[in-house]
Amino acid sequence: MELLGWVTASFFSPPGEALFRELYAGTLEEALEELTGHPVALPKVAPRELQAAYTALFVTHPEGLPAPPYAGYALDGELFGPSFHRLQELYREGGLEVQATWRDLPDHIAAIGEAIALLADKNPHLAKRLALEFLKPWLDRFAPQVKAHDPTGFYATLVDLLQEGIHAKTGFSQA
Amino acid sequence: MQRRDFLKLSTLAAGALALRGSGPAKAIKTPWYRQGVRSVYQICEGCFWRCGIVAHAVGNRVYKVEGYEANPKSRGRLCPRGQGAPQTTYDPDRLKRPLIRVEGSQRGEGKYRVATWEEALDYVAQKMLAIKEKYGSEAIAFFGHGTGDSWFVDFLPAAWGSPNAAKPSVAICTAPREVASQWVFGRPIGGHEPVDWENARYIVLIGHHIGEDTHNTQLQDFSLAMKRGAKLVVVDPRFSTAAAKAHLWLPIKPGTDTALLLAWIHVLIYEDLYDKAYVEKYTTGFEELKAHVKDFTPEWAEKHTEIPAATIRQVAREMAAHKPQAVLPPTRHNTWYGDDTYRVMALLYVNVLLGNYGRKGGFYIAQSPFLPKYPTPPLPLEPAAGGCAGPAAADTEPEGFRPRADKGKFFARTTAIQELIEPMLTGKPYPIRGLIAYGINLFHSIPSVPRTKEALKGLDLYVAIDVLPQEHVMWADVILPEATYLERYDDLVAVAHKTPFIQLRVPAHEPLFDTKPGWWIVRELGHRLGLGEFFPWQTIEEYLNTRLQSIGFDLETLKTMGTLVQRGKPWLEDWEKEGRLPFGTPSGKIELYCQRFKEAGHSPLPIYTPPEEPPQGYYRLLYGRSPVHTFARTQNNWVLMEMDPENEVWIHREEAQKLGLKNGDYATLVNQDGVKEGPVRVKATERIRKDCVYIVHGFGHKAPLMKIANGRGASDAYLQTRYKLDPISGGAGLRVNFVRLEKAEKPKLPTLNTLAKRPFDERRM
Repeated sequence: MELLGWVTASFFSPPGEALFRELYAGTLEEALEELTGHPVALPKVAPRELQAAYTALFVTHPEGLPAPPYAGYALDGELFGPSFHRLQELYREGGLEVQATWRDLPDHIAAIGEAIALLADKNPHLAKRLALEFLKPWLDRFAPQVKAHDPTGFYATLVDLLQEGIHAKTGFSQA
Repeated sequence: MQRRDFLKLSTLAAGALALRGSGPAKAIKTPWYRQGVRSVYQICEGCFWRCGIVAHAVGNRVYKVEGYEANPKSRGRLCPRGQGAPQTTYDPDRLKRPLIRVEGSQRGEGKYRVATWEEALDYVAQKMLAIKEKYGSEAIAFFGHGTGDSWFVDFLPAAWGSPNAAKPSVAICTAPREVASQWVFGRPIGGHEPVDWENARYIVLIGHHIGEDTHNTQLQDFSLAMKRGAKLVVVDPRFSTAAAKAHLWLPIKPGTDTALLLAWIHVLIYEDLYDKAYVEKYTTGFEELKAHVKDFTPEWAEKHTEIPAATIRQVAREMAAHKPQAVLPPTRHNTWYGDDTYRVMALLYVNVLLGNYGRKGGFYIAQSPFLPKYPTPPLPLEPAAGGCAGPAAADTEPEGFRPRADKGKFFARTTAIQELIEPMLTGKPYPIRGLIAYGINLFHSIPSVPRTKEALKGLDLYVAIDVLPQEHVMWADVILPEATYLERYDDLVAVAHKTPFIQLRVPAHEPLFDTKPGWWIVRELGHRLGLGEFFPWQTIEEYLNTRLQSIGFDLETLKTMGTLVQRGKPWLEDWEKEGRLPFGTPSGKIELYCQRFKEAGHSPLPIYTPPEEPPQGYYRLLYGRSPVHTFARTQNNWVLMEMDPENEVWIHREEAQKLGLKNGDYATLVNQDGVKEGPVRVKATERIRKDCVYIVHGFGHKAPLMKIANGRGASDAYLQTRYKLDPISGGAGLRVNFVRLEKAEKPKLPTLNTLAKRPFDERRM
């Protein structure tokens, strides 16, 4: 569960030098292999193209933002809806606080990934709930959009692997 | 790889959360208004009327906004736009992080990468300094619109040293009336039109779309006037919302308003109906005006306007019977046919002959509140952009600075925004190589969109500071996402009014995402540009407090009030008590003959130029407003789109029948240059003349990212491929375009019910 969280948090943050370094070294592929239990080959994408793909999929796109990276949005169709508040309750229950330096919403997929990782040992039941009640619905809702609109294939591959990972760690498969 | 090893990579992760210790197992569910509500005084940004509001927030979400009684704009009331405006803050499509266009991609291609603020601002500053080094500071233009534009279009270019700063609210909107008013009264009309609606007993609206072009206070005043029994005459080719309330609708032939006004002047003078004592006491040039209008009889005007001479006479006599409580309010958008300064002059002259300027039931004399600027070293240039109140700058440049790139074309001191596009393309009179665009929709406000796009392609730098990813934003090299109005302070808003007042905007919560307030962006950029001396304040609170202390006030107190009202001198008698008159003209009186126009080679008196006739098979394209939308800004707001989701093309029922169109059909509009817009729904109606069609401005968006707005209706702006310049004001007359209609299929878009039930989800499918 911890690994699922860190992988999610790492891949859904804006790609920068640290990510490129680990991609180049192959450590992220190894992490995904451990998560899914089979060999993984992520598409090789130039850093500039990966940054553009991330922006186009999750931040801003002139032809429509295919996958707003907010779990509450995937569940409710709006930001700051009931699911957003439910997530915040779960964060409070797990003793998690949103850092002042975090310049995005608490239900961003990267933040949820981090929460899963941080709670994996301390409160595994809660970590599992976050994975099943927030991360999985987001993937169910937006993985097809990511696969349809990712010009690099990188994120398209990743969402498939994460869905596999959730299945492996929780026993739940894609709806 | 071991999982434990992977944890070493945690620096890759989001950094969003920290473990602090467990909280309660379950939070108590309470409605928002029973939680810790924070209420702050704010200024609505739903339109540019800028009503004072109170915003009520819990955490990082505003749940309710409302007007407050002490604010002379809202008076405790708020319009639909104001109620719907908060939605933008919580729109998942809003701009969230600074973006830099991917190297090697083309402008308009929309390929961006996320950047830090430091990186984005450094990039902008380096490019600006390089342009300055090669071409001079004037080679960067600054366009903007909105409350925050004072930072980007007034202050920054003045500090930077570029006179090429412009707002569409001048040359695409109010320039003719402001120039006319300056030279007739020596005073601006201003952003809050100083019409004493509530005491008027006879109101004549010429192309004035009150009720459609809705400004909260105006509509309250207008309703009060109607309630008190004021008579209303509406002059409009279209039976507008206001016309439905009128006792007389005059369906004038488009473009002939000046002929009607000259005829009214003729009747008032030659039937001895004008206010002689007023004219004698307060004006100059009456004899010249009288001679000028001698032949402009109602019979002459009938031939042009298609309004019967008897009706023209009747209205003039009724106006005179109600003077001075008869008023012809100026329209806000008045760049129509290229001879607009003259039309507004004639309109103001009718008002003067009715003796209503500075009198109850006519125009009050608006004064700006006393509020000194923040003390900085003298700026290299005076702010040149102007605004709704016209030019603020002097008409001379200090040594070492070039004049505006549009200067010399016009008599006016206003910056004609559309005339700054040409220097981007041709380099004449000198090159403009960079553009900073704040809050302005370049493709929905400046005529000839293809020309604008061509100009953007050739620039060395194009920066967009905005809230939503509108089409023009996605052409920028750098996109700087601004915090919305609910999330930021802005400079104090000083409103010239019957009772001058100062309004405060206080953030209701922290900026969401990685967005920043305009004041922060401009200050950071200013420091990077070596302009730190002009940005000496450390915080916005310090800036605001310093300004307020200069009038014996302070920020903390204003935070508890929202609005500070000062005393005005709205009536002529208030000025006469002090032994003076309010007119800032060369003669010190109201001028009915403009010597300065004559010296500049223009007619000193208003002249009428017949408009170009539509080609065979074409209709003149008229446009107007929706009461629930603001320009092209609000069509992605699902709350407002639920009320008004698309525009319609109004066409006379008989003309529609000739074209095989019926009410509810869809048609494509094709202009005289072959540009197509739509499909747009047809409104076949007797409520419009047969020689024109009408659509509401702001629809027809082409940014797929704006999923609600995209593809709904037709854009008048895209059909305005030509404009006729007003040689006096620099205003771009836009009603000189013609369209024909081609039957089209109804576009396949999500239904309204879908929009209302699931505001965003369905549009993402």
